[in-house]
Amino acid sequence: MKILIQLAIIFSVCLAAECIAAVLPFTFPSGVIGMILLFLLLLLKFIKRRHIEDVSQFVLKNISFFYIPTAVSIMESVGYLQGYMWQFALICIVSALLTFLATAYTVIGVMKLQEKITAKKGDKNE
Amino acid sequence: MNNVLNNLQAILSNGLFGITLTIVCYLIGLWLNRKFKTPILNPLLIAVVLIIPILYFCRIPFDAYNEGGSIITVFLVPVTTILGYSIYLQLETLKKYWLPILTGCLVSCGVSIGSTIALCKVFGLDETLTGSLVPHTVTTPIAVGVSEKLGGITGITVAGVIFTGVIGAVLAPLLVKLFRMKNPVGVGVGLGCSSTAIGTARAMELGEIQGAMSSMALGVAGMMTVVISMFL
Repeated sequence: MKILIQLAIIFSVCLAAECIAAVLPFTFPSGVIGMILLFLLLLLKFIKRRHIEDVSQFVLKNISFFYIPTAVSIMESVGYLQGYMWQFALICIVSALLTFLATAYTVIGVMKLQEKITAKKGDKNE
Repeated sequence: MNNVLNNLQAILSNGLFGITLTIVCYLIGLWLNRKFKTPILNPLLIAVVLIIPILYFCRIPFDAYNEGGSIITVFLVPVTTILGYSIYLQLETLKKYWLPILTGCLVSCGVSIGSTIALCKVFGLDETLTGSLVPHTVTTPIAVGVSEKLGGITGITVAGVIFTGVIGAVLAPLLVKLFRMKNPVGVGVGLGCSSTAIGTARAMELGEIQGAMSSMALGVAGMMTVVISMFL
């Protein structure tokens, strides 16, 4: 019963997100709309944490399970990629690692900058 | 004999076959992952590496497997939605670090899209393949939408996203050690922006802050990519 209620709440949010996605004049993935919607509903306390907690924890723990069939569909697109295999792999690897390093160091840099600014403000206040 | 074969065909194209095969292979993946605790033995990767040869050698068509597989795929929208819950759990961290997170995601979109287009040009890939690869560092549902918009082939996009995710989940923690990154927010945002949901799953293993930052970055970077792709 509890699980069914939680599922009903989450699926309703998803359906609402699908409706919003259908109305929007541009293509925007409904999952992301659902994510924003659920976040806002939690923030505004329309949905409480305990209303969806068990299902959400289960899903978050096993999130990669849901991507298995999509990943298996690679076997269908191998034909298109023939002759470009190593380029494909290299592009994915290089660009992923560059993105990771650039992003991580940007975040670390901005945080350090913020710390410096707050430290300076602290000095002035003294 | 023929009768048995016909029945087998019917059983294999029953949705239950794909679902059972997926769950069993995922469980094997989880078990191996817990036993050996190395990121290369990612449960998703193990499941895929088990399922594809099984289908191939038993001559089971992908469509038969996908009768059940597509039922699991339907849940990708709720799964993405639930990421909103994990962001909410980290509200305090979000309030504290909104500026670094937003800047990080913006930089990630620029670097990811820019480096992918540049590399595709260097290797002389055509527009279709380039379009398929541009969104490879964002989460699958978003990547598929962006790829369609850019005239890519979604199958290749999904392959790219998954491959990138596995590579990121395996190599990013090594980079963290190599460069001695101690900032969990930076690592989390980096993983979410570069290695999608597989990286996020890995980030959750690294720690609670990393996981939450990663799922937040996953969403934010995805949204930014959608917006940027409107101008490509």
